Amino acid sequence: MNKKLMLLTFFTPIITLIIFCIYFYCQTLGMMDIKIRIKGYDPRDLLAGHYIQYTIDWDNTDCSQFEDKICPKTQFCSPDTPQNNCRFYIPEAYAYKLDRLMRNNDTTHVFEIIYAYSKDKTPLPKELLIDTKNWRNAIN
Amino acid sequence: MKLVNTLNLWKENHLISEKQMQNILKYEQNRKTNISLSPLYWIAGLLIGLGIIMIISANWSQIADLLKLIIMFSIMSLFSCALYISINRNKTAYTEFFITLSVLSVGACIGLMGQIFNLSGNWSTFSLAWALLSLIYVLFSKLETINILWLFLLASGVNFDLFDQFIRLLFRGLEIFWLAISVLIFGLLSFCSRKLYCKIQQKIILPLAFADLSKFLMYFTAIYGGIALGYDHNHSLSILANVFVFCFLGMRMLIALKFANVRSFVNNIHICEIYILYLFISRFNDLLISGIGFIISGILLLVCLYSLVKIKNYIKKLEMNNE
Repeated sequence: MNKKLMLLTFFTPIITLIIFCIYFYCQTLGMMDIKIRIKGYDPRDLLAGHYIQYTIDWDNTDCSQFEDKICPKTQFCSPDTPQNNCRFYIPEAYAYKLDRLMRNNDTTHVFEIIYAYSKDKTPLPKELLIDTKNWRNAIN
Repeated sequence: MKLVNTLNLWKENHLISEKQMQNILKYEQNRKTNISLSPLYWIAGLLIGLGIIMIISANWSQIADLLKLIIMFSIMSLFSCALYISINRNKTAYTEFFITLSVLSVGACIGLMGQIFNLSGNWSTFSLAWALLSLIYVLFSKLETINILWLFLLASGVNFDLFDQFIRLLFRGLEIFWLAISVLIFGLLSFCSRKLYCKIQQKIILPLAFADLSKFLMYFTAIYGGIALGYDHNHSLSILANVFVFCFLGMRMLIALKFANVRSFVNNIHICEIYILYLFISRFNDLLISGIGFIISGILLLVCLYSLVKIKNYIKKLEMNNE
């Protein structure tokens, strides 16, 4: 096999992954931020790490953020849909604290996710808020 | 020792010279040294690669997402360059090391992207993406283990539920046929993959790995399927299942005999012994019928062996008469 071709072949997965990164980043451009109320817990994925698995609390979400003041529930994730389940990744160092906070919460704290939203695209979770503050500030 | 004895025999019969004998021994010694060390390099690669995956899973918040991506892609590029250099310099052991690292770093990178962009999905999507992107590295590996693990990764991403439902619908109530067809399919896959491997002059190990995996699945399906159906309360199905397993093992032994594959023949005999012992241990509820079944099977086997020897002697006699 030609040496240059071989080297290019080895770099193909890297180039592909870079393209995907750019694609995911560009997806969020031009999308507006909206806040969605959630409730959840923290399982662990051996490969991707800790994440919050949450369900969307549509009853307590402000639907006036959307067009026609109607919450597009089907466009968002659902824990029952394997291809579009609700996950927000968190560092291992804070996983236990956050998990305790979410599991033991009796409406003391308000948990929200800021989504990048556009009508014709899949919404992407951007940030986790606890009592309207960034989760890092809230638990420190 | 065996090789030395064989080569001495050839030398005595003037098939090879002394110099040729020495060259063969030297080559085999070098080859064995290379093969025995490569798996250890692979294990080292496995340890380091899994360590990288775990560190990424910890999801350090102290490092910015962009910096994490840059570091990850730099590491992957380093592994790719190192792999390229080791292939060019014919360093087989280091090639396997860097192939393992490259494959695992692809998985680590996909995991990292999932963390940063909070991508949803399940293991199926993840493993398919990982398998497809790392295929390029796996094709250069000469270790069957890496190829088999890659096949497992790919298979874990494929949804077999639909296929299984289709088969069950087709053979509803005819479980034995379903079992036989599955065994046949795996056998054919193994045969075709081995042919493909020979056709491509053994340059890529993946077809051989697929052939070995299919062969293992063929045995697993036949024996596990036989055991599972054998537990059925329906006596006739239970008997049919056991007959099927013995017929399968018998066929494998015949094929081994035909190709003078002593190892395969002996292995099949061992499997047969274990299966017979299993049947004996598991039949506490139907002792009388099972006992009669065992005796009949033993007598039938003796009759078959006797007939086989007689036929063989008859054919030999015919050949001698013709000469």
